[in-house]
Order: sequence, then structure tokens, then C-alpha cells
Amino acid sequence: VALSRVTPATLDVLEALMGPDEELYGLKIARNAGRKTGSVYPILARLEEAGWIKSCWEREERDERGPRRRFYRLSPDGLVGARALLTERRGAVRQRTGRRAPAGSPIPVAELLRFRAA
Amino acid sequence: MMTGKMLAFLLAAVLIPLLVNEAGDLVPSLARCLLRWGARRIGQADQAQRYEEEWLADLDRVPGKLTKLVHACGVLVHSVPRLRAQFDRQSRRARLFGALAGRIMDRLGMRPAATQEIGGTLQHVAELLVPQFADHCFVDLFQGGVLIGSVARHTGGWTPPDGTWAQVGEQIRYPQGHFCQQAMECLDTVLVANLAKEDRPAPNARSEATAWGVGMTSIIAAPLYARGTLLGVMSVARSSLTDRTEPYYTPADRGLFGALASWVGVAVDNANPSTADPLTALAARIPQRGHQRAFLAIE
Repeated sequence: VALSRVTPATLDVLEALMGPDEELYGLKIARNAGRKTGSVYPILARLEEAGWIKSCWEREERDERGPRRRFYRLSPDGLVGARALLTERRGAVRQRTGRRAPAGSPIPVAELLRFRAA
Repeated sequence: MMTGKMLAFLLAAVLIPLLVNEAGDLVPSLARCLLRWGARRIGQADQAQRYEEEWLADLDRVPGKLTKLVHACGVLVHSVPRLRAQFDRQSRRARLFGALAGRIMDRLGMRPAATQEIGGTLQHVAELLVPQFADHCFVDLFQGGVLIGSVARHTGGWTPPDGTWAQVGEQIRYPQGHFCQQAMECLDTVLVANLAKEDRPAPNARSEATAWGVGMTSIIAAPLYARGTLLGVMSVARSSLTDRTEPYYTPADRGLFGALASWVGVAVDNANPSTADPLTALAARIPQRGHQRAFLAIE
């Protein structure tokens, strides 16, 4: 499913979602993408509506530990779409992580397989 | 003079630090209140609940006190209006399709289907979909193993130039990779969200030129399938014939149209005297109110 509107911020968010981190929540994605948190939540909602990402709560039920984070990850379709889109628009698939992966570094094959299997 | 100095000292050394400290303690609470208020502005109760919890959890991980307030203001200014607009659009779409589906189901279950009536029924279904949900609607049915164009409906009386798109009654051959062919092969609804960004083969060059000429933007194709038999394919498309705020179909539209196509498939199957049996015909009509309720629930 192609996205109907793709902005530079959308591409930044997709690069952040490509990262190896399994616990990616809104604030962390915004930091990794280098974008304001406020602008990231609507992008995540749009990607989720398009079926590119899936989200789940940190824990099943609310408890005394306080509000739960919402974790996001690319769906298998989203991973394929994101790779194609990033390659088309930016020439390469880069990962944006908190650890600042070197620009243009390709996604390890094992990482791709793990996402596909998920 | 002495009293003034004492007051100034008290103000500078005690009161102002106390006030700053108090404000510092209150700022995170204020940030939480802002996020709760913002989440409620999004609209739907379930979405408000979700975003309230998500935003509060993220706020807990923002360091500092004043920074929390800045973060909350950012979410309030940038996220809330855009999310509200997004969910409003989704809600409007579901309401529109819910109303359409109700009328279509009434039509499909209005009277016992018969071979001679099904053509009129499908035409009426297409008239309900165009122009509210689509600018173009096509129904192609297998007749003696050959796919024949059975219904073609376009917005505003527009018609494709002769020799471009197949006319009603003509045989249709979709090439491999065409969305209708893919829907029939996979027996699943196919969404082409943005035609300009997908390399989809057309039956021929004239057909492709007509699609570009009319400004076709987005397409959904669904198989007509009942009792283990593929009966045909139904497709809808949006183009520049109508000036829409939402020219592209979404996965939600795909799901709704797929459900509609499955009911149309049963209606077409019931119209075939060689396969129809009273139980299936009954089953096709009984759940219609339930389906309508399901659509209303989406709203």
C-alpha cells in the first residue's frame, strides 16, 4: 500500500523505525528522527492507518506503575514499503538510532529477516 | 529604612525561591493537565484515552520540569489539531460508507434475486457508489468462463472514448499484475492507494492513456466470490472528475469495500438458478441488519 503523502518528516520517522531498537515509543522515535515530538504523533497515526506500522502497549493492563508507553514497529508490508520509499527518495536506507549509526549504513540482513519473521 | 531592607531581603532570599520552587513542582502537573485536555480535544473517546495514556507515559521520560511544559505545549500545538483532523476524516468516511452500505444491503436483499434482475441490482449498487464513494465503478462477471463487463458507471455522465475502456457486454482480459487480475487470483481485495506511485499494467495503451487523461488517482478491486466459486470482479476508482478533499482510498476503505463485494458476490450467486438454494438465499438476506449495525459501530 503506497502512502498518499510523504514529507521529509515522514521519511525521518521511517528511518527511525528502521532502527534495531525493539522498544520504540513516540518520544524516542521523535528523538531518533530529530523531529519535534508533537509533529511525530500524527505521522505515526497516518502510518498506522496505512498499515505500515503496528503498535502495542508496553503492558497488557494499566497498573500502579503508571501510564503505559505505546511501542511502534514496522509491519512486514511497511518494512518493504519503507525500504523502497527511502531508496527512491534518499538513495539509500539509513537507520536513525539514538546511537547515531553512520549515515548510509545498510540494514544488516539478519535484522531484516528478524522483522520479516515478526 | 531598616524595615524596607528587611522586606527586600525576605523577598529575595525566602519568598522568591519559595515561589520558584512551588512553580517548579506545579509545572509537571500543569503539563499533564495540558496533555489530558489536548487528548480529549482529539474527538473520539477511545482515541482520547489512548493518546492521553501514551502522551503521559512519554512525558514521564522527558527530563526536567520546565522542559515537560514545553513538550506538552508542543504536543498541544502540533499533534492535537492534526490528529483531530485525521480522525474526523476517518469518521466521516466510515459514516458515508455506513449509510451507503445500508442502502446497498437493502437493495441486495429487497427481493429474491433472479438472473434477469441481478443486472439491474448491480447497476443500482454502482449508482449508489458513484459519485459518493467513487468516480468510476465496474462490475465484471464470468459468463461461460469468459469475463464480461456487466456494469460501468462514471461520475457526471462521463463516458470513456470509444475503443479505450471495455464497454458493457464486451469481453475483458486483464493482464498479469492488473489490480482486477490480482484480486481474482488472490481472492482478496486489492488497494492501489496512489496509482501514480505504482507501476500497474493496463489492458492496452489506449486504456492507460484514458486513465491518465481522466486523472485516475486511487483504485480498489475486490473479487466476487461465493460458495467456492469466483464469479467476477468489482472495482471502484477515484479520478479528477470530482474535486475531492480525499482523492485517495485508504486501507479502511479497502476493508469496507471488500465486505460490500462479498455481499454482492452472494447476491450474484443467488441469482444463478443452477446454484441458488433457499438456505443460502435466506442467509444472504438475514444478516443484512447485522452488517448495518457493524458499519454503524465503525462510526
